[in-house]
Amino acid sequence: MKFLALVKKEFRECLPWMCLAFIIFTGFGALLLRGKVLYEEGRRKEIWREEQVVPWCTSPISDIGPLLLLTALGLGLVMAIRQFYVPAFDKTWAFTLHRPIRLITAVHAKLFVAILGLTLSVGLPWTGMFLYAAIPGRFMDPVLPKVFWEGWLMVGLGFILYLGTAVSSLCQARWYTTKVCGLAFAAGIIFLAMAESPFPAPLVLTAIGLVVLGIQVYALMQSKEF
Amino acid sequence: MTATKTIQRWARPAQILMILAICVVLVTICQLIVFQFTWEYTRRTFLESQPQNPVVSEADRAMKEISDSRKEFLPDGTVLLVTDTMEPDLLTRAKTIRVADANNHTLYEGSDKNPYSFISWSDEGPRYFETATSLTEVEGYYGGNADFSRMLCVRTLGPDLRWSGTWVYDLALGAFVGYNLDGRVTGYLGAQGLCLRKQEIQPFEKGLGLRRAKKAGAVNLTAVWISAHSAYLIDFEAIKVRQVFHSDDDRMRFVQISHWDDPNTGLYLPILAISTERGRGTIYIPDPERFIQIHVPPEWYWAVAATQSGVYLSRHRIVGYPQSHDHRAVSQWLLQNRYRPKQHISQLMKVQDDGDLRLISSFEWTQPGQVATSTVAWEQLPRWINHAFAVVSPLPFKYASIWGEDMYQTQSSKYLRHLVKPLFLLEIHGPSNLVITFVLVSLAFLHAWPRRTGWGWFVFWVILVLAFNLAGLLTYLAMNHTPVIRCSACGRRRGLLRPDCHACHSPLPVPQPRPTDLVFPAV
Repeated sequence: MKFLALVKKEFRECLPWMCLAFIIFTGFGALLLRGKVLYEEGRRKEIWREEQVVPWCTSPISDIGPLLLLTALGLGLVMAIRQFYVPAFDKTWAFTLHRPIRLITAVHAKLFVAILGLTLSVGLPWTGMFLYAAIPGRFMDPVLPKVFWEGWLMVGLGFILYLGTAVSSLCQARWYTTKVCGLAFAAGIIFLAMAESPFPAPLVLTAIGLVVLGIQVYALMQSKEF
Repeated sequence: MTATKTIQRWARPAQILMILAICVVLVTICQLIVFQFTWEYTRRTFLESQPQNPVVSEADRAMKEISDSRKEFLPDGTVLLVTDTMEPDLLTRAKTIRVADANNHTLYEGSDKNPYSFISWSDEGPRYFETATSLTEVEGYYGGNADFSRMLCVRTLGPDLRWSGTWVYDLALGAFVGYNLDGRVTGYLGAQGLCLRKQEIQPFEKGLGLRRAKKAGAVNLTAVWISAHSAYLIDFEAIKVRQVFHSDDDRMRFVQISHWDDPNTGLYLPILAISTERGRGTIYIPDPERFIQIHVPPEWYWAVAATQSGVYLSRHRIVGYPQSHDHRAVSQWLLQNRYRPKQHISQLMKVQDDGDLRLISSFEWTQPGQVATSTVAWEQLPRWINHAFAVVSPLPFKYASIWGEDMYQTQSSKYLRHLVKPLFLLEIHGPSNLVITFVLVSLAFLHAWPRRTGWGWFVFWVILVLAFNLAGLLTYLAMNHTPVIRCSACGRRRGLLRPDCHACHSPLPVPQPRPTDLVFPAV
């Protein structure tokens, strides 16, 4: 019950940002998808010239990729600031920690809400868009299943940025020393993951980022230095 | 509680790893920025020291003209030197052509519709997957744009030139999967040809490139699938696959295609030429189908042309150019000979049906040594400057740079290529690097000695600085900014992370108790 109470508190605080991310991603994503479907309808009737036949093409829903990545990163950043930086700024950590709970429960509640927020606001709309696009015949080029997992990996990168921001927020070093290391490390992981490597490489990098940053979030919370 | 303790135990290594990675990147970026500025300054100084208008003799000018011109052959073996000139006017963009004989005497000068019919040779063309440089790049995220991975696909058109379906290469299956416009799978195209069930697929060897070779009159593409040891001709019009080359013990060097979609089909025949690293050559002419096996020593670069009167081969080499295609040997040779004259040889040969080559004509010329221009290469920078900037690089990077250079040459992703390039721009000079490493290790040693809490961490920090040089020292300082005080017992400096002095083992001084003055006297 104490855990649920904490989850409710965190959820309440992050809800406006989650709603905003949901509206932005679903709204613009639906517009992009609709535009692509209309474009494809026109192409079916088109007479082709031979030079248009190229031996590679992007996925029909690749336009959604940048929107998905930016929304996931933005939401991860904002939720981490709301959960870890703002309480230190307006001195409300005591409001969270005065309860008879273990610190690790408070961390779990925050992480749970972050995962829930990313899943509900970005992950589920992405799944819906993918399912809509993957209906056979919707697009002339097939929408391959691997694109679905690539989208979820982008959501995972949003969580990496969340952890990086959390580490930077909890770290008590000065801003020009190691305080920014969490954010810098997360940015490096995101950059490397998107650097055209084939699929297992981004997955491994994301896993490394999750472990390195996740452990530090737990440890910094337990140190109570904030 | 066990999980909590485990997390606390691993938190410090995780933090070290994170800070070390950032320090290594930061140090490398700083080195490269300063290095780039220095190179820019050195380049200007070098250019200013060069004579502004060097006196060039008539003979040198003629030699340069011959060297800069294209060497073309007529079927009878006559060598012609051809120079194309594009008018600077962007609106007209008129092209003029000058044709000269082997002694550089002008035979024709005027519009590019010249009266000579040179042999039109096959060319290597874009070796890779169009804009993507490899299959790996196609399969990865489309870097920089955050787009999803691309598909290697070939769209097929119906007789009415409307889109009728798509063949998508499936990396896991190693074969093309056909989809119709309704998104249904229509079949699989593997090394053995079309099959309707996934279990029957015989996969292609992993692809290194896909060249387009559309046949004249065909609506759909014919593609050449190039792998390390094999080449397949995939006809997406007839849905057929033909293996045109295979070698277990030799690797592909280049694949050339010409005149497959040539309107002047009466003059030239479509041809496909394959060369291997050991000099084996295969010429494939599809109509009527025939294979000709030839052998051209690997130091020659060659091209072929098939006419109604026979198959011709043109080959070219630079005297002294490394025979092996090892990029390190080639780079070294180019570095040493950039400013020296080079001797070139071009030969025209007739290919017999049994693969023998008969020499028809040969032409030799000297290419003058390169003159310093505004694009002066890195080698102009004195080596000691390069070594000076690399002294703070981690010594293991000396070996990583060898790996990095190989990776740069072979890596598919241009983003990763750019990432690994700095690894070998800075040449690490072992002895000077070792001296700086020793100085930095000494600094770390002196700093860590009074602050040590145990031998394990102390030794670890020394090894870390030894391995990562400046980045290691910065990581160490970031993780160990513990204040030190003088020990009240022995007077030596001691850190505050340990309750007793590391030298005399006396505990931290306890403050003297003072009488309390806040307790009110009992009434």
